[in-house]
Amino acid sequence: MADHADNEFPTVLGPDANFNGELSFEKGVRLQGRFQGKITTPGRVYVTKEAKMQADVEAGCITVEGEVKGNLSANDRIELKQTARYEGDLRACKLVVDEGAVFSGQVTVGPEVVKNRGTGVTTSPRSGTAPTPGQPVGKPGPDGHAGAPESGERLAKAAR
Amino acid sequence: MPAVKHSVASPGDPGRGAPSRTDGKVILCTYCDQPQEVGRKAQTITCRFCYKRLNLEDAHIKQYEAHRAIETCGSVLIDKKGTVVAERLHCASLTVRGKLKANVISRGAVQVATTAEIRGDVAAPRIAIDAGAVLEGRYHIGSA
Repeated sequence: MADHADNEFPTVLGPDANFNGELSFEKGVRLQGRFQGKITTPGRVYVTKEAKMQADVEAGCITVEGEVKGNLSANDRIELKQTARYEGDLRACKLVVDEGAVFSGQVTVGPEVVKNRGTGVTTSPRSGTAPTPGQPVGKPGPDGHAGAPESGERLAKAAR
Repeated sequence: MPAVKHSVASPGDPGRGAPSRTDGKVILCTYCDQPQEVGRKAQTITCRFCYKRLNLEDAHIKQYEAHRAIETCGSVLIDKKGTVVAERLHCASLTVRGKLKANVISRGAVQVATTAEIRGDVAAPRIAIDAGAVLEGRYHIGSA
């Protein structure tokens, strides 16, 4: 049983630990103490009941039982257990919230959310037609209409 | 025939506030938050405190429905094939299995099924979300 837990969470931040900084790892971490900073991992992050975390987390899977402040982003799922206290913005493919969890913040959950991550898209998870903020101005939009500057050039050419 | 017990209203506040029937249920006014007892079969009442009309019916939505606002002291159930578009939804409890686009304020628990899709802000004391639901909006869950 202990071996199984060790395999899943080779990294453990103990209950008397107080970590301040940036943390990245491969498999998983179990947070039992205090953490402040940033976590980046493709694996799992497990925040236990007694843990207090103030961090931005990017992970494969995040489970919260304790107190968390910061932005959470998960490629797979975020689980807020009954004892969880969470404040911040949340992005995930799947969200599971047990009754009794307390949280507040912007929630964006859906299968498309993670694909759009990094492109700066803030549109709804299932809407694929909205233009991205980085789209060059003047190029035809997704609906086929030309942007203003290009159409202005065409008009100027026609006038000449 | 079931006996209906009538209690006497308190002398200091005759006819206001004190529940009169024990076979009823207690509801909270959507507008003034005051509790009052109403008959189990009552569908609408006028609040004894703010005199506003209150809808007590439970809503079971199975198809597309667009409203400006849904305000009820009962529960709202949006079925798998149901779609609700509204500016706001105030209710005692909410279960979503279909699609909902509204700002939600629930006095009780909100249950979100796997098939649910909610766009809008949600404020509720408790929420249970199943994996697979699509959510977008600002959430404020908890008593504070």
